[in-house]
Amino acid sequence: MASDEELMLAYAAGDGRAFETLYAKHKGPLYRYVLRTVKTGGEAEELFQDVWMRAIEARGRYAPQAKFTTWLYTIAHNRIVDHWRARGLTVVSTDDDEDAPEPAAPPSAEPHLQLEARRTLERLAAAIAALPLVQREAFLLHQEGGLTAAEIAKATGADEEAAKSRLRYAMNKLKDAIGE
Amino acid sequence: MRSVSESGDKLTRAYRDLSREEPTPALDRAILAASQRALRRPSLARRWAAPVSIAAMLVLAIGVTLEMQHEQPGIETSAPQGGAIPPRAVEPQPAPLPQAQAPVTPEPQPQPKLKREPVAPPPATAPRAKREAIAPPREAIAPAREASPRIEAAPERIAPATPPMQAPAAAAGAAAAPAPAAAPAPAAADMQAPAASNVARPQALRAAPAVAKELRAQSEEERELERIATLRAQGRDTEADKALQEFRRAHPDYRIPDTMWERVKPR
Repeated sequence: MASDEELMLAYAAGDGRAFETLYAKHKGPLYRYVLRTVKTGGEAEELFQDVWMRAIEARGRYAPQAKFTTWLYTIAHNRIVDHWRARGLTVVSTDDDEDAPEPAAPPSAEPHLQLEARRTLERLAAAIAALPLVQREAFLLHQEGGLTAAEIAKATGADEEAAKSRLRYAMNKLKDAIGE
Repeated sequence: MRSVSESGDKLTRAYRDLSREEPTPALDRAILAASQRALRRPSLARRWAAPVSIAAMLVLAIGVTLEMQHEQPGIETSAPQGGAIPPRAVEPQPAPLPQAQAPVTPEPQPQPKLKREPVAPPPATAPRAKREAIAPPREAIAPAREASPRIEAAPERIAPATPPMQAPAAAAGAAAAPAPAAAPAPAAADMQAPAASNVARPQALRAAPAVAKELRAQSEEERELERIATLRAQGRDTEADKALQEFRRAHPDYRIPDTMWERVKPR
């Protein structure tokens, strides 16, 4: 089976099926990354489409020096940053974690496991939404894009230590939220 | 990284159990249709590559032919000027070198070729002076801690290439006396770094081709952003908006540093 990089090169060479394969594989994770970063469905759809359009238009310049996912999520990150900038928002690093909202309280005992599982997921969703932006993004890039800390650093323009730190903070908070 | 993943197994499972949102089928169709359309129409660069190449070759060939026809009679007689000119300076091609020499050899030089000096300014100095005039206050603006990683990283990559740069510069100084533009004020030194890196590039290419390629691509992107910033500063916002859109299309994975964004962003 062809790798993502080979598929992208095949698409750049004129193979439309290669793009369909790539799209089918990455559309869900990329969509969720965008959706959970900007939080509203309308914005997410617009940004998601724009990211793919940029990837399509840049196909001729694609060089498989890095993983395809790193390249794709770099485009997505840049598009989201442009989106915020256009609205006068700035991406501020909050690695020190001081201003981060408190995660949801740990779970209390529930009589029904099913209900508890559902509440766990609700707490998790709330805790993800409450994460500081850069930590949420690092977590989503790791979970959805499968990116390592080094790849997260590359995609977001941060240094690797900062990326590791953000990911660790995010995971610790989310684990607390689900009572792990 | 692995330990982070392993310790987050339960977290990962819980995350996977969250709702699995997907784009709508309509969005899927729109994107897939766009991907097919893009294949049917060749990119702008591909469409114009051949005509532009042919036109450039024709212009070059005609220009060289005309130049040769003009310079054939008596060109060698005008070359030796007091014997102080190095061999490269008497070659018919480089017009800038005699011009750069003019301040050093003030004695009258009746050769007819000197008449061309005022109309043949060194092409490298004019853009450089222009760049100095629009010099971005990179050093003055304290970069955000992480928002402009490329700007922060650039000096580290350029720094190793700086020492070799002095060799060609010294050679040029030996061949021709320093022209006024070749002795910039210290404040302008940072703006000469891109030009200097151009001089040092062959050595960097030999040492690390990948790094050199990245550096070249990066400087190309920075140059384009500088051009957009200049348009913006001149109030040519429509052109700047269009150029910024084209830049984003051509370089979707390039992160525009915050300081540069402030200069190029739509108004």
